[in-house]
Amino acid sequence: MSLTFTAIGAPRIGAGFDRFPRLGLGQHRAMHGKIPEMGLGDLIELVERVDLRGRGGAAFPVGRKLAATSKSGPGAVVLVNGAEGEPGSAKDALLLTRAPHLVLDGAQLVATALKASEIVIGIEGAAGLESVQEAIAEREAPQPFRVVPLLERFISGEGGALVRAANGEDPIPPGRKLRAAVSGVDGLPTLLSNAETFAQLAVLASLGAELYASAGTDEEPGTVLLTVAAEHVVEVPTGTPLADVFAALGVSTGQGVLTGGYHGSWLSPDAAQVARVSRSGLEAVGGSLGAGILLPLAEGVCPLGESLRVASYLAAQSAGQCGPCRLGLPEVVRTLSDLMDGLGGVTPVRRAVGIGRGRGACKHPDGTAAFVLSAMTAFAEDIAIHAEFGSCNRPVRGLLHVPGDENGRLEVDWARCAGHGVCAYVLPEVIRLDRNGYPVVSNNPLPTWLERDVRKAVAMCPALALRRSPR
Amino acid sequence: MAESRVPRWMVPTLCVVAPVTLGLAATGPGAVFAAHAQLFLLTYSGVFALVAMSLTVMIGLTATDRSLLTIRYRVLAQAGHRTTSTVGMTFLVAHLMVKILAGHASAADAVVFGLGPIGLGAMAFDLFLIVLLSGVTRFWFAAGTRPGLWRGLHALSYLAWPVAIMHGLTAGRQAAPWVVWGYVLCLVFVGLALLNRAVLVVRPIVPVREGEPEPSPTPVRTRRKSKAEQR
Repeated sequence: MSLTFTAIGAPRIGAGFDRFPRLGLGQHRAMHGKIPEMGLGDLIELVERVDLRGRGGAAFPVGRKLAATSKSGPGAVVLVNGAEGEPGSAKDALLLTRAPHLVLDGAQLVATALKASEIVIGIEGAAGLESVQEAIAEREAPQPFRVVPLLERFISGEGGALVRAANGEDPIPPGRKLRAAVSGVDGLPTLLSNAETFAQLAVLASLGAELYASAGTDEEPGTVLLTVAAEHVVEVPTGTPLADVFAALGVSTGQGVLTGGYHGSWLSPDAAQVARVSRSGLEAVGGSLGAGILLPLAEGVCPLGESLRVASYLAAQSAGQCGPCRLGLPEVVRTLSDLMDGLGGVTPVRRAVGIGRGRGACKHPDGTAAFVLSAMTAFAEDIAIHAEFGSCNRPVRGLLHVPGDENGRLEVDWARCAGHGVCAYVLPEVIRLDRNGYPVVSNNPLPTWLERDVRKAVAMCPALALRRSPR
Repeated sequence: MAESRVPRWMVPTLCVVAPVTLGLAATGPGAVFAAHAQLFLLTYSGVFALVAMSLTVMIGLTATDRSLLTIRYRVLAQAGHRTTSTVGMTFLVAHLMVKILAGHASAADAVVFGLGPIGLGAMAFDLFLIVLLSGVTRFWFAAGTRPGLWRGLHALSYLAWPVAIMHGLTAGRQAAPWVVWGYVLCLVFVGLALLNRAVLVVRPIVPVREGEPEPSPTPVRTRRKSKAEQR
């Protein structure tokens, strides 16, 4: 999948992208100049004048984050979150690949202000990794840089998981919440933010507050990076009509637009026509800006089926450490699957979705719940058709991109299976027994954390009737 | 991403425990203890191996039985089957090693089978080794194209076990009459259970779930389908 970059209005972060595939140090300096060094007080004041927020999805005020980190004691670390676990997002990968110096400038600006001892950059994917390593070699910095390669998993971008990855631990969300600003990398106060945030910081420092605020709305000045349909990265000033973005790309809003990624919510085509690109603008129509992900669903496919694919993917992406998520998400998938076959109803889905809500080390079950509930509302018409006819006769094309399944699937040799039921006991997340006592194997990708149980179930089948399909 | 099946603490623990044990055995009291342990193994490791393998065969047979055990206990039985087989094979290897080291038998006697008391033991060992290997590689048989072959290999245990009992009763010390009767009873019961398994099949025990009409409460026994019907 090739990534394109488009700017509506004058590009800031994307300045020079039209001429260079990647901005080396010289090109970067020519575009953005040398970023002035700033004291902590000046930096916080500058950031608060334009109310800069984190661009990873949570929109936490950067000024407050800076203040909190500096208050936690001396010896801070700056941690750049370059993880793009969201299959619908590509802006951070693009940024780290094409404008690594802008991100490093921003990180260095913060590190100098905080008198940080180290800058750590977590990156997914080989292209970004190579580009950033090259950029680090090109420049001189008072602080040492460290690059941490990350696994391409949905939860890699969670703050706690990233801190653990930087510490060389298992990159999964920690069970006990520790604010990175208090105790992050090596137990030091850590300023953790998304890669785009640092790029915006560099642009802000280079332009100054007034010039920075000359684009965008008064409440949320500046530009924002969007990823549309997982393959177009767009830089737009806030307040731009969403319809203009889609028109500029020649992409249709189709049956609806998923905003905020796979933990986000659906906009109807009508809402997408009137929405404006900003946090408040999208919230006004029931969407969310999040990390700037916009996924339109084209006409002619089954929206319920497409949503089910995403829900299956999300269920398989659980780290498997929290029970309500581990068992609740497969249940969500089962109820959604029933709904699609016209057997279940919306109520069982809502009940299943409730299992994991607010009951995990991270927000994965909550985000999945939000996505599924939003789909229930957005595609109510389609659900009614499925309830009546058992299908809407439209294909599922996999238009909402999910990475391929890495662990294969389970197959039952029906000629051998004698309904012993052992597999369902060993692997309840994947296998249920039907009313006759024979296994019903869910058609979902097998999560990595289930590896041991899958092997166990295959080895324990008394009839040797269970096997794993080739990957 | 395949997970390592050896627990992370295993290798470091072994690296510490093994030299410490050897070191302690070199001291005066340690040497006395080692001699006692060796005598114990010489006398009882064979008995323990035979008892554990008997249990393994019997638990393995019951693990597939659906007329008495629910799914939960069948899973438990499989775990028990693996545990007793590990214990049994460990004692069996200890039995061979101490017998060879004590000069009661040669290394070749451990594997070259015959019809004498020791030859029967070697035969049982060889057969159990095949059965053990098939048990360990069950995952690959299930995934492969010939899962039926596994049945045949693993069923060798029904040959290995009686041979092992014969070896136990004929070699070494004279067995007490109650021991002999005990083994005979075990053989008879296993024989009957095998017969039952060959002739009768039991339908799945149907789980009762909320909101569904209750299925027939007792498992129904039916005649096994003929070979032609199965295909």
